This record gives sequence, structure tokens and C-alpha cells, in this order.
Amino acid sequence: MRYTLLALLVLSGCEAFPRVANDGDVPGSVLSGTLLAVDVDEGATTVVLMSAADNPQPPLGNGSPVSFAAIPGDQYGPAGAATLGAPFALTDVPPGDWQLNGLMDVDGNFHPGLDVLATPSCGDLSGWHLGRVDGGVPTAITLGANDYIHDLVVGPLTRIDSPDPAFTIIGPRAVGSGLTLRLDAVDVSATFADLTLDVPGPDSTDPCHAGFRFRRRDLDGNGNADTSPLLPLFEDRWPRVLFRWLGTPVDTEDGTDFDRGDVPDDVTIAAIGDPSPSATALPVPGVALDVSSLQVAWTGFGQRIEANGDSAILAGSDLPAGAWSITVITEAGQIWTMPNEAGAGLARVKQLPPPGRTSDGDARQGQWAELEP
Amino acid sequence: MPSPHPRARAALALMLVTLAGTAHAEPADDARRHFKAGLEAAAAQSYQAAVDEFLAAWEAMPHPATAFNIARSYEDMNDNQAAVLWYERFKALSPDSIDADEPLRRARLALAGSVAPVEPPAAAPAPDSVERLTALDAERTALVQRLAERGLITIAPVAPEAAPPPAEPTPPPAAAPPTVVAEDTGNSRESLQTGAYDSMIVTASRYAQDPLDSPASITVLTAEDLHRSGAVNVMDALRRVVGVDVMSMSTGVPYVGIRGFNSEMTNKVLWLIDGRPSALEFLATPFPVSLPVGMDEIDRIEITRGPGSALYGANAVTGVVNIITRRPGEGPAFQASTEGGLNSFLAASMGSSGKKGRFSYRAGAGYQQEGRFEKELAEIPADGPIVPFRVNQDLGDQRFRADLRLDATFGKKGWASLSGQYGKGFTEFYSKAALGNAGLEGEVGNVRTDLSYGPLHVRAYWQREAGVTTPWLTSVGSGRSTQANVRDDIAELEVEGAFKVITGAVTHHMQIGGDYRFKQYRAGVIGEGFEIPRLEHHASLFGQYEASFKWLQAIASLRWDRHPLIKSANTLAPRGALVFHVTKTTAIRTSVGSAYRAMNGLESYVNLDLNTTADGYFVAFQGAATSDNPGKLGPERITTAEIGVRDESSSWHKLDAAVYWNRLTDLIDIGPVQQKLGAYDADAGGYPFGVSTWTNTPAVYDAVGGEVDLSLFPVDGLDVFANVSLERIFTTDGDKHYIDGSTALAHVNAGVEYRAPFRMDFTVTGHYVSGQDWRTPSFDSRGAIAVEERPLPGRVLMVARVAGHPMKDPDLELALTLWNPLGFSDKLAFREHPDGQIVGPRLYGSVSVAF
Repeated sequence: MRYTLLALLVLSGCEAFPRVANDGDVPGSVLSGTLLAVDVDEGATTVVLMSAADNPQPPLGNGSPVSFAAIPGDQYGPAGAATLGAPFALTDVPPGDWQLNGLMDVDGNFHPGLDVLATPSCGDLSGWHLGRVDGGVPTAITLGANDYIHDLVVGPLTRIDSPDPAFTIIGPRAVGSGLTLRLDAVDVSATFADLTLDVPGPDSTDPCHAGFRFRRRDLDGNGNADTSPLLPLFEDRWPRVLFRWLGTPVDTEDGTDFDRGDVPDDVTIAAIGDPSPSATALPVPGVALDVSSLQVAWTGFGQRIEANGDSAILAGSDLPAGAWSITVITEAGQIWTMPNEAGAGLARVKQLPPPGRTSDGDARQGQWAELEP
Repeated sequence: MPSPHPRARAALALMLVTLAGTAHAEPADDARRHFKAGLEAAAAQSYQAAVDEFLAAWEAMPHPATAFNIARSYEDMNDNQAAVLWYERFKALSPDSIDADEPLRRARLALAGSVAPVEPPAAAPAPDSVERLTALDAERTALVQRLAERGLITIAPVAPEAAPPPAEPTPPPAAAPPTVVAEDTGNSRESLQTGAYDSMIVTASRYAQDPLDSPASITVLTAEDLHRSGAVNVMDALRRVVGVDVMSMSTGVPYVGIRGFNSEMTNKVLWLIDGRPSALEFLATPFPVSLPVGMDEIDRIEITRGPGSALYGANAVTGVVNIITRRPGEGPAFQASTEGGLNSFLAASMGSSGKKGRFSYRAGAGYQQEGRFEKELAEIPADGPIVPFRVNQDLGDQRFRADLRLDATFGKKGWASLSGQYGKGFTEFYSKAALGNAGLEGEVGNVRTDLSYGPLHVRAYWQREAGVTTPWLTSVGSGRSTQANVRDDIAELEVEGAFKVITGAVTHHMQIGGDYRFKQYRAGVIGEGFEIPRLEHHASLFGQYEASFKWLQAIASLRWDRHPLIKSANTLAPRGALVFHVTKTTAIRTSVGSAYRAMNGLESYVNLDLNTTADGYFVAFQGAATSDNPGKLGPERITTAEIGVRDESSSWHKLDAAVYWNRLTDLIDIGPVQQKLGAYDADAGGYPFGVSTWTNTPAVYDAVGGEVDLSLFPVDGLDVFANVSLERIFTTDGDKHYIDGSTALAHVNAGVEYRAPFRMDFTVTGHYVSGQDWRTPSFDSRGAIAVEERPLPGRVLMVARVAGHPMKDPDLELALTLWNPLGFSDKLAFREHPDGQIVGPRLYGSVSVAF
């Protein structure tokens, strides 16, 4: 009996070791696969951005990526092919549902650490992990503990041809019931190397010059604009315009600071804007129109989002008075925010003018919308 | 006197072989008990009882002093034939230690004068005649028969014509030379020897001394302890030692801490091989793959608990582990073993040792491999983006070693040695890489020469270690996972003198010495740095003075090191100690001292790109000497006070107990990140988020602990050990006070070893470690150091081993070992570190032969 037990022990153990790690601590899961890019002759540095499926990054939502991987351009191949592929891997991924977006930084101006650069730009390639290899919609990936998914496809990454929505506020900056802001597109360019905003940037003949690609969504093609998923009383329009509450402006020696009172820094208070082309008739639903100026109406609706993700609807006088940043998000995920908050400390290090201050007398970086009490 | 008849010579030779004991000599504790009983019986003039006890001691573990005392006791009984036999054996085993000619001559004369055959013929044969030699042969045969009847020897057949060459008798185990005469039996003959089986240690004071004289807490693991421990590497063998924590984070690299502060890449214990530092220089910690010594080549391991920088310099912060190898000429002439078992475990070794005249040698080679405890992924597709360090993801450790040592003695005071060791292999070790652990593949080689004459000893040494470290799993395109090449050369020259002077009633021991050490580091990460060697010139002076007066010893030690990156004042390491000999077998020791740990090569020179929680970000981590503020990093320091007691007042127990306080400051750890965004770095495969370097942390750690270590050997063949260590580390960090939970409060070890009369051995040991609360830092995606609380429950690691010896000559052993059986169960298996792999089980059989 003893020998049988021993033999069974030995035999049963032969195939069972080494164990496969099944504890989420050691290590996390791996999401890996292939990036596919089309309409490009050679690869460029690509970031794979991972965001939570219930709070995805623009344009699917208003969230921020929680992790990313960077793939060198020389990983793409085969040379000369119509579709280029490169491997990618995201490691130590916790369990959950995740969206993956790939961004090939063709113009080399992407940087994840700075608002002004943490956005795709016209000419880059972008794509999502889709439900089907041959198409479909961005589809979340469900991951357990210590899963190794190795056959994901992100893409195809296709060229972004919509203009970058860089803008400046023209005229009064007050927002509120019945008030609109005017946002004019302005060509700017910035790279990480010098981190200055060069004005002007590309000229109007450049297909990637600044502007707004306006569209009244009509996904069902019935000729009527779709209802906004955020506000049923409003149309579903692109670009999205969001306001975020900064606080009460306070002048300091270094520039402007924002007093948030008893609202913690990790609480976000957001409000929704309703855009329309300036001095131009609304296009037919479903048709895109590149315009150089937007009028943004204050809808009076917003949301308070706690650090733990809990949220509450805010409306009317619930929305606090003070300074509000303006963010424009295109259908391709391009983003522009005013003021450009690179962080006060970094702004000093990089000699960027902090929010509220301008460089060389240019007022564009220091602009925000103001909601009166 | 004419030479013995060839047949008599053959018979004598065979008796020597069969009486010399097995290759796996029995433990000294049983032998020591019988030896002491023999001395007591002899003092009471009960010579037959004395002979019986001495013979039992010989059976347990042969020793020259035992052979002498047997001869001496037979002489007292006027059994001159047996006396001659045993004096001859003593002379063969220990020709230089004491003059055996006089007692041998005396016994032979007595034998010649008293040889009157019990049976006819009545007339004594004339000297040198065949008849006399035949009668002598008959008497010897009768003696052999008597010993065989008592089961003390086995009689091997003698080939009638071809007398086999006399085999080298199995030399006794390593022990200090027997002390000169200490007890007088009251007649004019030489007195009995008393110095057998006394365990001597060398690490506590750099010279051989009785453990009762040691100013430090010290534990000795004998070769038998190692053999029966079931451990497959030296580190695991230390689990049974009081105050030692062994933490396996992967198969091939268990980390060892003494009196707390064990951690990944632990570096607060100094490892020595035969007194010289042995560690991977750029980590200042050894991996088993970097110790080119086979377990079967080790004579003993001395573990000193407490700081040792006063004698050994940097890095002996919480303790010293000195692996002492068998001297050439000791042990069996040839031995070989092979082991195999679960999880790809396979080991083979062979060794040879011999002596001829003034020259002796020892050579050995071995191979070992073992599977990983855990692997990250069940399967890695060959064409996927994850690239493994090794295609075979199941194997975690593989190493080959070879060594050779040649010794020569000259005169009575001098000896010289030349030795070389080589090791090659790979191993998995813990590293906070993106995809799990890291791999190290490389080789280590060293050459050493010693020259000793009288009180002077000179040692010269050179070692090279070269290899590659790389993450165990790499994601394609992640340049940060690029391999790091490392090559270090160390050359050392040490001169040491030991002097002893007696003035009146005071004995003075003085040790002085100095050394010069040259280090050359080459480490290249991501294609930079490897071709630029970093050179270091080190020097040291050390000294120890000890005064002994009656029951009191006072010891003072001091060492100064010249380290190129540390101010000299920070390298002074003093120690003071007092030892009170309450009785001859009980001693109380107290000591105070300090020690330090210098920055290792990694901390000094290697620039790394460390992961954050986001793959695309990394923190540029700089070596201290290459950072923006070189010279700012200082050594870690420890101050200690200890009191202990050691008791060996009976022949069936040993007890050691100690309480201590250690204060550690300036521990080296990851410093804060200075945010410094950078453009995409294709070589690093990511965006730099910031920079950081090593820093001395401001926290102060006060460790308070106690240890009790008890060994019992009540009857022949039975050894029982049990030890407990308790420790609490109180941490003060600014205005924060907390207990460092990474050091377990309690370690309890216990075991039983039984050597049954029917040639089987049984060993069962258990090692308990109480729960821990680790606080592990890492960089988050914002580059901040995030500290996470990670508890580990208490755990027990058990070992069971059974061995049989179906043959005595050659000594054949068949054994089966089960190590950590709880590792079979997914529910009961445990980790020893939050980031470590689940410690798996080991089940293996072994076959070994020695002759």
C-alpha cells in the first residue's frame, strides 16, 4: 500500500509541476497580440492605450487610459506590405473589462505625460480592438487573474484626416443659461522637445490644419439627427464639448491658481456643451462639415464624479460658479483643452506659462470659461 | 624486528580497512559520549570498560586519539598484542601529531617478552624465525576472531597469493589536532588523549577555538547534518539553524537572512568559502549557481549570528556563513552520487581525495538541475510577442561545477595550498520585471593559493564572474528588457599573523592582518557602460586581541577598510566581548560592536530602466556613483549588543541561548522619483517619467530578539534538536513608529534523526515561520513610490528522509527524501515572499557510493 501510494504520488506529481501561477499577485495577466496598420509605408512609434470599458478614453467616453505600452516603429513588418503588423504586450493587467486603442504617432508629437501632447493628431493612425477581425465596433476584452491572451488584434489603424481641434476663445468667456462661447480654430504645433506652442502652425492649405469636423450623428440613416446619449433633449453632435470645473480663480505671483474650496482635487465636476457651427447653417444629419469656428451653448447639465467612480447628475444651479476648462473631442479621439494644464510644477520646469498666464502676450493658453454665480 | 609475513600484512591491512569506518561516518556526538565514558572508566582503572567505551567511540566515528586510548587501555590490561595493533593504527592515522614510536616500541617489546603461545609449542620460537611469525599470525587471527565475535569488525576474505595493496585507511573527520596530554592515569606511560571529537570553530575569531570560547553566537552544521537535511543547496540546509530565515522566491535562489532583515536580493550576510568572501560581487549576495562547491565537499558550515565586520569587513552586518570544505586527503578516496526526482530534479557528483606523503589532493565535479516552482504562463506561443529567456520554461536552475585542490606540508609548521573552482549555469531569480522574474546565465571561476608557516598565513585569490541577466519573459519591442552583461574581476592578497603568548597566568592571543583587494566591474545595460570598467582599490587592516585569565576571556577587535566610495571613518568596525567560563562546560558571553554594509556593484554603477505600473513609462534609475550626486550614498550600519550562554555540561545535550539588540540605520533603498519627462526612448522601449537613485533611508530599525537552541543525543543513534528564535523590529521613521512586519516574530525548528542498528537512517524535521506583513514598494504610473501592505500567513516546511546502507564496503546508500510535502497541495502550499513563487515540493531518490 505504501509503495502504491508513493508511486501514485510520484506519478501524479510528474505532470503537475511547475505550477502555473494562479494568484493575481504573481504576476498579472498579459494582453498581447498584433497591431495592424494600413495606408502607411513604414511603421512609427505606436502606443497601445488601455482604458476601462466602463470609462473608456475619448471618443468612446471621457475617461483616461490606465496603462499603455509603447512599440517601436521598427517592429512593423513586412516592409512594403499593404498591411503592416507589429507585436504588442500589456503586462501585469488586473482583472476586468478593458478597451484597447492603438495610436501610431506618425508626426512624432505624442507624449503621454502632457495634456497638449497626449492626443492623436491629424496624420496619425488610430484604431481599436474590434469585435471582428474584419470590422465591427470597439469591443472590450474581459480578463481574469493570470490570463494570457495572445491573439488580440488592435486595428486596423487607419489615418486620421480630421483637423486638430486646437482653438482659442473669441469674445466673452462667460457661460450660463442662454450664453454661448465662440471657439475659433487656431493652428498650433508643439513637440516634446521644446514644449512651446508655435503659432501659427500648419497653414490653411495643409490637410491637417486646425478646424472642427462637425457632424450631426445619424447612425440609423433615417435622416434625423440622433439623440445625444448624454442628454436626450439634445442632438448627438461631434465634436463633443465638455467643461470641467477648475475652481475660483485666484491670482498668485506665479500666475493663477484655482481655489476648489472643500471639493477634493480628485473629484471631477463636468458639464456638457452643445456645439454648432458659427455663422454657418447646420449640415444635414450624417454629413461631416469642416468649419473653423464653433458656437458652444451651455446646456446646464453636468455630473459630479467621485474618485471611486460614483457619480451624480448636476443641473442648473448645482453646477458651481467659477472657472471651467473647455475640452473639444473629435470623432477620431483628437482632443484640445483650454487652458492647457501641464501641471504647475512641470509648467515651471518646462517654462510653460501656467494656466492663466500667457507667453509673449498671447492669451490663448490662459483661457477658461467663467460661470457666474 | 623483521617485517611481518605477507599474509599477516594482508590481514592487518584488511582489518584496517574494515575497521576504519564507513564513508558516511557516524555522528561525533555518540562518539564523544563513549569517549568521555572511556576516560572516566580509565581514570577509575576499569580498563575493560574503558576499552569497550573507546571501541564504541571508534565504531561511531574513528579518530586517532581514540585509537591511541584503545591501545593505551589494552596496554594497561597487559594485552600487548591488541596494544601493538592499535598503536600501529594510531601511527598510521596520525604520524605527525605525536610521537607514537615510544609507546609502540614499548608494547612490541612487551609483546616479544610475553609471547608464550596459549596452545603448544611451549618454547618461544626464536626471533626472526618463521615459527615466531607464524605464532604471531595465529595470535592476530585470534584477536580478529574476538573482535568479529563482538560485532566490531567484519572479516573479509584474503586472496591467498596476491596480497592486495594496503588501502589508505579512512582518515578521521576534520577536527582540530588532538590536544596534548591533559590527564594522567597515574603511571609512567603516556597519558590518555582527551582531545577527540571536540568541535572546533574558526569563524568567530579567525582561529580554531572551542565553541565555549567563542565571543559570538555560533552554530555548526556538520557534513552529516547537511547530508541528512534533505536540502539540495547550501541555503536550504540553513533552515534548521536558530535565528536564520531562508526565503525561497524561486527554485534556484533562496535568500538567507540572519536575525531579521531578510529580503529579496538579501545582502546583509557575509558568505565565505574557507574564510574568503564568496558572493556575486555586483549583488554582494551569492546564488547557489555561483557557489562552485558540492554539498558532499563540505566538512562543516559555521554560522555566526551577529555582526562580523570587525574581523571580515563589509557586509557581515547580521551574520557570517563560512563554508569549510574538506581538506585534501580527508574523506573517502572516491565517492559518487546521483539523485533524481520530481519536477526535473537531477543531480550527479563525484569526488576523489587522497594523500601521499606530504602531498594531498581533492577533486570534484557535479551537475544539478531543477524545475521551477511556478511559471507565469501555461504556454507561450512560439510566434507570439512574449519571448522567453529559455525555451524550456519548466527548468529553473541548472549548474555544473568542478574544483581541484592540492595541498603540501613542509616541516611541522608549514603548509601550502593551490586550488581552483569553476561553475557555470543559469538560474531564475526574483526581479521586479514587467513579466515576472529574471534569469542569470553565467560562469564563475577562481584560483586561490595559501601559504602558511607557523603563525603567518598569506592568501592570494582571483575570481572572475561573468554573465548575462535578462528578464525571464520579454515582450517584443520592449527595449527596456534588454539584457545586461556583467563581468567582474576580483583579486586579493591577504596577510595574517596569529600569535600566542603566555605571561604568568594570562594567555594572550593576537591576530593581525591586512589585505588589498582590487575590483573591476563591468556592467552594461542597454548597450552602454559595459566597455567602461569601474575600478576599485580596497585595503584593510584588522586586529584582534584576546586575553584569557582563569575563567575570564576579554576580546577586542577592530577593522578598518579603505573603500573608494565610503569615507574611512564610516568603515571602522569595532567589537568588544567578554566570555565568562562559569564551569569547564558552561560559558556566558557578552559582546558589543558595530558593522556596516558597503554598496554593491549594482547600487554603485548600474543604471537601470525600471518599470512602472504602465508598460510605456519607465523610471531611469541610476547607480549611486553615476548619479547626479555621487558620493552621497553611505553604507548601512548596525550597532549591536548581545548576551548569551552556552552549556555542554552533560554528554547528551548542548544548549545555547542568547538575547540581543541590533540597531540598523541608513538602509539603502529606492529613492524618491524626481519627475523628468523625456521623449520616447526606442532603446528603452518607453517614455521616461523620471529619475531616481539609491538613497539611505532615514528610518531607524531596532531589532530585539532572543534565541534558544537545544540539541539532545540521549542514546546512540538518536539526535533531537529544537530551537526557537523570537524577534521584533521596531521602526522609527520621522514621527512614525511601527513594527516592521516583514521579519517574522517567531521561527521554530525541530527535528529527529535516528540511525537504526539495522543500517537505516530516519530524519524528520519541521520549520515553522510565523506570519509576516510585507510592505513592498513599486512605482505607480505617476512615478510615485506606492507602498502596498501584503500579509503572508504563518507556514510550516517539513522534511522527511529515509536511507538504507545495504553495503558497508564500499559504502552504498539508498535514500528517499520528501521536502515540503505541503507543496503538493494547492490549498496548503505557501509563498515565503509576496512576490515569490509558491514553494513547491521535492521528492527525490538518491544513490551514493563511497570507498
